[in-house]
Amino acid sequence: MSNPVGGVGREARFVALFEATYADLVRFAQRRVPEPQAEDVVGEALLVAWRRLDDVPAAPRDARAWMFGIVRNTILNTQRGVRRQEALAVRLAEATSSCSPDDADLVARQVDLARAWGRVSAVHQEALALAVIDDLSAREAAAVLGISAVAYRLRLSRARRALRAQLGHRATPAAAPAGLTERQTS
Amino acid sequence: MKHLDEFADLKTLDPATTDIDPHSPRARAVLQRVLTTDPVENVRPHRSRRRVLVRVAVATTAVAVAGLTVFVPRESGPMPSGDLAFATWTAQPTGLSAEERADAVKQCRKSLKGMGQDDQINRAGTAMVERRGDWALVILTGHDQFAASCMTNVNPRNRHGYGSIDGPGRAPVGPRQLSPSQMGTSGGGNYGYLTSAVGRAGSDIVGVTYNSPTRGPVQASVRNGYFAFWVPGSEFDGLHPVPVRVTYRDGTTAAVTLRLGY
Repeated sequence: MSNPVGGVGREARFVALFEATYADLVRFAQRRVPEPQAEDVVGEALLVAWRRLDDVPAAPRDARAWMFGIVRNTILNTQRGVRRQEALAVRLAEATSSCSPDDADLVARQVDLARAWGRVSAVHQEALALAVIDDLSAREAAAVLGISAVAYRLRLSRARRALRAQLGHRATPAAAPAGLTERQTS
Repeated sequence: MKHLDEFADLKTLDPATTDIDPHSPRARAVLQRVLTTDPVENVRPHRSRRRVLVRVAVATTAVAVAGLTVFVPRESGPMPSGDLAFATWTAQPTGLSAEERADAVKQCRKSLKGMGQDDQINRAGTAMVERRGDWALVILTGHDQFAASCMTNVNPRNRHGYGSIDGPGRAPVGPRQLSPSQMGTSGGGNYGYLTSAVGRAGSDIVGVTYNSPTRGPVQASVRNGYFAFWVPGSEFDGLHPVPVRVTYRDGTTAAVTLRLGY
């Protein structure tokens, strides 16, 4: 397992990164590509990380977010021949069957949510999923998307309103200051 | 993020699995492959026999829709399926005119641009162009077993496509061997899913037939040391072996299993 170019220290750093993030990376990919392809996508992203190991943030949470960004870009790159996309849609699981009244309520909410989810844009799905499903802070989610934290909060705010509107609630007025626009940071 | 509590039920619809082990044989194989790659190499590394980057194409969009149709089959619109996008598909490949062929190859090179191997793509020759209805499958090959393949729509009113790159660095195949470099389901979105197998074929192999459970016998193209076939819909993945029947140059046939290696 030795590498003629990389030293032992480099290899040990990568193995530590791999073991700390692999499961989360596969889950991140499973939410965005068909499950059989998730580990292949992660393998491709890990190759990129191996080459850019010096760029990996030192803090574990930041390193995880950085790796999510690599996985995301790997998926987007594979799609460029079809349609240039700026965001990845996020899929949801099927609602579970119900046995108790409580479960029935949950399933009903899940069905409503899934219906609404299918009607919001990939940009909004992605913004919401990073926070709610991938469990990232605004700063970490912004790093995944390559935008500023302010821009991410703006995007998330719009996504919340979009999903809420699809759920049949009344959309709230825009929370962001007028004129504030997103800006790519990388 | 307390303001997101209203959407907490999203977490209950997380499609990701929980039992992912970084010490599993598959995970360790991925780690081993990465660690044996030169980190300063500016081209793709030598690969294991399994093609790493399975085409995901527009699958993300497709799966998102597919998952939701369980709940809202009508209100969300029809689920993408190969039946519409690949309605012109044929079980036997057909040829292309010289102009169509040149155009398919041109589109293929175009769809592969920007994937980090533009020089290889520019230098690659054409190993195969086969057509099934509106779609052409193109295989480009180059130095050191470099290969790339594309699905390209040849209908001038609906021109688009996508591609994938494999190798370089694969071991040569024996004269009676099939060595798939990609297998599985891809596509989605507006196009629907398709299932394909592409790889190298030994010099004694002149025919490959896949028996589709939904479409019947499907004849692969075998040319210049490569084989390829595809069918609309989702029929197999890259994780499980797929039986095919091979015809050899001497006229004999044999049942063979396509299997991606690691």
